[in-house]
Amino acid sequence: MSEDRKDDKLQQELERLGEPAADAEEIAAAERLAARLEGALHVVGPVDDDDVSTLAMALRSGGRDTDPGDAATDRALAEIFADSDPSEGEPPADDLEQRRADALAAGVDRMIAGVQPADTPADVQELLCLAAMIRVSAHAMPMSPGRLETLVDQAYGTKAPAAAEPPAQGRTFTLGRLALAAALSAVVVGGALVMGGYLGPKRMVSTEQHLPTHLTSRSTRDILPGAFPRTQTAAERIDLIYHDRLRSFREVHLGGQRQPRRARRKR
Amino acid sequence: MSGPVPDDAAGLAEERTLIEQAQAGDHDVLKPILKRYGPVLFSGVILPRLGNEADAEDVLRDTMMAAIDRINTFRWKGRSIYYWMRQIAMNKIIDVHRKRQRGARLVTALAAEAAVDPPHADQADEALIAAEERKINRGRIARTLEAMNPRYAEAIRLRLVEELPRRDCAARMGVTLGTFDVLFFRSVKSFRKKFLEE
Repeated sequence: MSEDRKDDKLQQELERLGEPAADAEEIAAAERLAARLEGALHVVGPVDDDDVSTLAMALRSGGRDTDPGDAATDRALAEIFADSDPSEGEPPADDLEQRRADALAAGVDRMIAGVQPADTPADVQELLCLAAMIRVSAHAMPMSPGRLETLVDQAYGTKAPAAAEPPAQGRTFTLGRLALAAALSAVVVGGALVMGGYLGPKRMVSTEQHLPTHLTSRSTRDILPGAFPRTQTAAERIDLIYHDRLRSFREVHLGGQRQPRRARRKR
Repeated sequence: MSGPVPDDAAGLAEERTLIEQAQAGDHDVLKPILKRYGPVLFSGVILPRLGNEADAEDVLRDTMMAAIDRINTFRWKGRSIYYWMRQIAMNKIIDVHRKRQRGARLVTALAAEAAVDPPHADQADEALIAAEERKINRGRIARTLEAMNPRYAEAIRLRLVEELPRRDCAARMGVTLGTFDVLFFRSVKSFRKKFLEE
């Protein structure tokens, strides 16, 4: 059957059912979704990520014996295709929807309280982002002149050989922290070299044996203290690196390294 | 910006002079421009499209860095450099949403918005620009709320505009707390659908 005749038949059937006619875009989207539902590995053309993730989540929530015709799938399909604004009455929420509603409610509570959002399920994150967008559009949230000044200075910090800024209160700056982390690493490495020269190779090896691996200095190229969760912002990651380095530096210089030395002197 | 607000012609002339000096190599002269438009970009463009203050500050700083870095590529077209910086900011906002793996529809909607100039893109007065951006943001939220089921629009107004606690929202709507949570969840989903369709 040619494509044109197939489309004609489809439109006639839709008309007979009292449905509005489908345009080419809707037909293509329906075919892609149908292919996905049938398990096709390669679907030509983009499939709306939101719709597929909604469907996948509903299928997962249905358990092992989920049948494509079960209630979860029906609900997901209704979410995708139906108007989500029922004019009268509200359909009851199933467990999945209730969990997502709870997660969104908690996220909005934290957002309004000005607390860093906790780990939010991926499917709720976009809704939370939209809620935040609505909120900030409704309220004037000006930037303080001091904060602006700092950001401008920081923007220039990487462009001109300006003096390094002291860390700002609260969230310190990404580049400043990187520089500080690098400097701390250099101090640790430099200190270790000096100690090595002063105490001799035997002493150095002995000290390292008493130093836990997680406190030893790492190369500045190795800036990752572990896998970062995807939800972490760049600033949070830099915070983590900074604190990781600072803690190592402090423990090496103020605790971890001195203890074994005193112990050896006693011996 | 400190000092009196210049009228459009004088403001544009001053901007053009500063930009030419920056393009000649003196990047420091851009500081007054960044300080003039930074707050507008933050509260009028970036924050309403990200929702997160920390991310918005990062994007503003990156926008200013990009503006300093690429000032030589800026071509004067008789209107404020603000609109060029706004375009940079919009692209960075889209990058943040992509990195956070937000829905494709949201990214597409932002990209479509970034592709067109805001109305009245001929101002040089930051106060007028800020008013215009506020109008744009509030207008698109209001239009979306108007197109929604009144019950859902009410849930959003109570929770996000009036910032009432959930219990108060539930009481105002005459439902239990759990039902309000579900209503609110459906409201934001409905908002997303209408907002991205706009």
